[in-house]
Amino acid sequence: MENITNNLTYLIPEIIIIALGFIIIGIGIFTRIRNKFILPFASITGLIFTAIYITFFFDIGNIHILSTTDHNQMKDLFIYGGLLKLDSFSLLFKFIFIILGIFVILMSIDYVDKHVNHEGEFYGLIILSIAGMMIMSAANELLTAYIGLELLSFSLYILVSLGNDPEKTNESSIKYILLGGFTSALVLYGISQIYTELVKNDIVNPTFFSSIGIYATQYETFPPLFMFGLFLLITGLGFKIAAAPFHTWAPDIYEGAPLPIAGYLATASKLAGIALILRIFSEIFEGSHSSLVIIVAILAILTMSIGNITAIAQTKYRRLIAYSGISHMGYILVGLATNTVDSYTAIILHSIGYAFSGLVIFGVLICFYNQTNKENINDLSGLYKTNSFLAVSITIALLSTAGLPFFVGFISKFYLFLAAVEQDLLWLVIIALINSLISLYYYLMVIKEMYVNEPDDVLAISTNNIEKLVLITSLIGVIGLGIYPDIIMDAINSASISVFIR
Amino acid sequence: MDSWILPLILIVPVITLLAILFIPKNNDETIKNITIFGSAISGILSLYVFMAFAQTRDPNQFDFSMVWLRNLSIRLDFGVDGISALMVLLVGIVYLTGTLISCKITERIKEFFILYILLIIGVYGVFISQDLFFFFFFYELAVVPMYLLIAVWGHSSEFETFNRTKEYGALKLMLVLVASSILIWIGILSTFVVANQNSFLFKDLIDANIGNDFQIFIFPFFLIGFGVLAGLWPFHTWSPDGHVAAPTSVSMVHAGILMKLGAYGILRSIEFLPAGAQEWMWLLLILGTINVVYGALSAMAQKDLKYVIGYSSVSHMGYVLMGLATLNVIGVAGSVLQMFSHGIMTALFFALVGVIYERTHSRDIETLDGLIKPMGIAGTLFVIAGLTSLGLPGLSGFVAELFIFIGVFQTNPLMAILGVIGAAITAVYILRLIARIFFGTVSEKWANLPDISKFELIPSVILAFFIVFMGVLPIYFIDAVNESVKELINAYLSNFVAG
Repeated sequence: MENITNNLTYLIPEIIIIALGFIIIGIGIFTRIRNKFILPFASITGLIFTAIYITFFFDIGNIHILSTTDHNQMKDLFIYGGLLKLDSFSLLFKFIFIILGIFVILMSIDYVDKHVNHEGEFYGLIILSIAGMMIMSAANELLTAYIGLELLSFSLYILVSLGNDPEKTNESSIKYILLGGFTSALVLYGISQIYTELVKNDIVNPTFFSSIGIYATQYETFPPLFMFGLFLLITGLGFKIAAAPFHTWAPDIYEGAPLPIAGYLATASKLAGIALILRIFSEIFEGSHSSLVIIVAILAILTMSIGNITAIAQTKYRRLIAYSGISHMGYILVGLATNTVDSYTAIILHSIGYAFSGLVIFGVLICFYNQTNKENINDLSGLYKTNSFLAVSITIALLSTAGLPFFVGFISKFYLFLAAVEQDLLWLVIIALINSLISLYYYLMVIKEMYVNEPDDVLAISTNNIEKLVLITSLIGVIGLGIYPDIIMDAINSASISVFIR
Repeated sequence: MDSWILPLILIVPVITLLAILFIPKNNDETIKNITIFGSAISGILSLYVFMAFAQTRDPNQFDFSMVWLRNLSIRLDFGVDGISALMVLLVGIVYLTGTLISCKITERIKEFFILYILLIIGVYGVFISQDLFFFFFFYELAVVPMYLLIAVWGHSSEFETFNRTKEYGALKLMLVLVASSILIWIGILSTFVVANQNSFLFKDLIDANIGNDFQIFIFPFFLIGFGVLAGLWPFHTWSPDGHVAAPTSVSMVHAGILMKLGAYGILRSIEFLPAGAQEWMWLLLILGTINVVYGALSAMAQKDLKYVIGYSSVSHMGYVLMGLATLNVIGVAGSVLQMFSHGIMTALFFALVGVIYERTHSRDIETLDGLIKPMGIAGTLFVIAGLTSLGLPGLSGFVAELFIFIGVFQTNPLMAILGVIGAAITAVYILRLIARIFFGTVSEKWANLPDISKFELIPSVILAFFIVFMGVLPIYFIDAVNESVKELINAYLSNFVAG
């Protein structure tokens, strides 16, 4: 505690972002601004400033997000007695969260203008949730992680309910807050179980991830109490990333929430869950626990298959994307079951690629919805004729998520599956490959709708410059990383090494 | 300079594609001119690669290598031997001629050419990659644009009892090919892990001397996975449906080049899985023979002109597979020659079928007759393609099929006899087809059709030239291919001498 002021400098990004969030909410409540651009651009300026600060001026020893770091020379920085851990993993994820936040805010501008009444709260809460995610990615201890998780979740509960069409939003926001609250309670209970078990074994700092690691190495098979706590924890985290069988909220909430928030749930919020899962599981898997591998593998199979098979039957594009997102978490879980440095690298790469293509998909759908108010997949018919740019963008994103080459989805899946095969998980990979094929089928149905079928109205759909900017930038991410992924591999490598090897 | 030729072969289409991308939509003429110009440069480069190779026969002269992804030590590694040099030439020819043929398209031409060039980048990439990862990367890339190319620009066909929509053909093709690539995924991933060389390069995998048990286990994955794309029976049905639904130039690339990717993939997997190949080649020989006979019989039963050609492709790919299955120099060399010969021939077939369909709006063999009268040049070219198809000496098909039959006779005379019977059936349906639609009295509604136009004539003549050239001077091609095939087979045999 003596160097609290020292430690404070390490929290500058979070402090800036939380302050920014309150300022934006304040402006929204206490002033009457009629220009739709002021609040989002104020938010984005703040976020860009923070991103630049993290990238270039954030001095935490020799860890740097853009540089190659030899792990032997890397020293991780623990602050506040080890509650938070600043390493290249948390830095990378903080950076990604801010970027995703910027994109989501940019995509929201028109939507908020048309469909949301509380601008200030909307943008302010997005920013606050970014702070929550940043804490999650840096947390080194269960309760800190829980605080970050709750900061994120509470922001999202409100964001989901902010649409001005009560018929739709009421159902989804109530569902989300009830289910979310319930799983929160389960997580807390799980943490208490784990805490009890660790205290019984005289382990100091019983909530620290590293203590769980120490505990895990002591046992060949876990005692039931610990297993129970762990199970509850997995439930909570599985809920966050919408892994089956904890996934059923996702399609309903995506359907009722404001569309940009659905996009935010699908990209940033899931990535935060993944970050936390990687942190916790790298410790729990410390000892080789084959029973845990089996549990994760079963979850992976369920998630992939339920997601993909249910997606085929969907008629609304939001639900389709929700299920396709669920299936993607299944691939991530394949990587988790593999549990090697390579698989962690692959998971991070895959999540980044998934986030970029998710941004494109939601960007296009937001544009489309803003101008047509239509929600069915067959309303997309002839999109190529009404706006070819949107159609091409979403096609690229869909093909990338289906794992076809030229796009990041191919190399990230290849990496993920290769890592799994290296650990003798070929059977799991085969199931994942079959699932990719299924997903290709329903993506092709969407693509066919857009290119082959004729549009219902000949009304042209327009895109403004901001939307073009967002889409083109994310497309550059999707295609650029597909053509030459090596450019971000340094950052990802040091992140996965720092979380896996410690 | 030479090490840049192969990257250049990929870069030229990429530049062409980007150029088209930035031209506004309604400048059809500019778009066509740029694509033709780009494809001509690609064609010349391909020709240069083949001729330079035929001159020196040095498999390392074009080598290019750079690190692509350090983590997995994936390298962008290009190089050609005699086999791939010939395939590069094939791609160059079909790319150029297909572009010229496509100039007839009026609807969404910009998008068509973008997807078409993407397809070409994929096939070029497969033939020049020396790295298993990139081989597969480009292989999948070549499949991506097919769906839209067929579903948007294709033709649905209607029959008395059933319909085949273009969306059906496109979806079937796409799903079957991606399903088959699951097998290749499995093969590549487990081969990489078992070889334990931390490298995807073909030569490193060959040096790895992978254990026999694993080879025997994994080879069928490659065999079937690639075989599906080569039209291997009983997984061939996507191919006629896809060919028929596709627009002319896509059929040309598809039957002319894309199906060769499958055979080429099998050829490459023989290199690093010799024991597996030895164990499973009986299967390929039998299936290949069934391909020949079954394809020929099916072609004979068709009433739709394009389906005839589609099934004849299945039949001819059977020869390629039979040749590969012999695993002796003459058979494999014949198979490589057949890939080239069939690629050119079938491209010419589809080009001419496109020409006929354009004018008559009918592909029904029963209604077409006497077309040689109004369309003399097109008819002559069609007859040339037909005679190649049935293996007339003096045309390209003869040498290739002769080599294959000699090779097969050395390993399995029974299959060779069945193959020859297949060739005889081919002669029957091709001659019947030609007699039916080109000769006899011309019916009134066809009498005043215009003959082939400039944009159709040039590509057809280019294709016909190569057919005749290869028929008259086969030695030029044989010499280029033979050495590489010998090397491949010797390397294959040495595995068993040592082991």
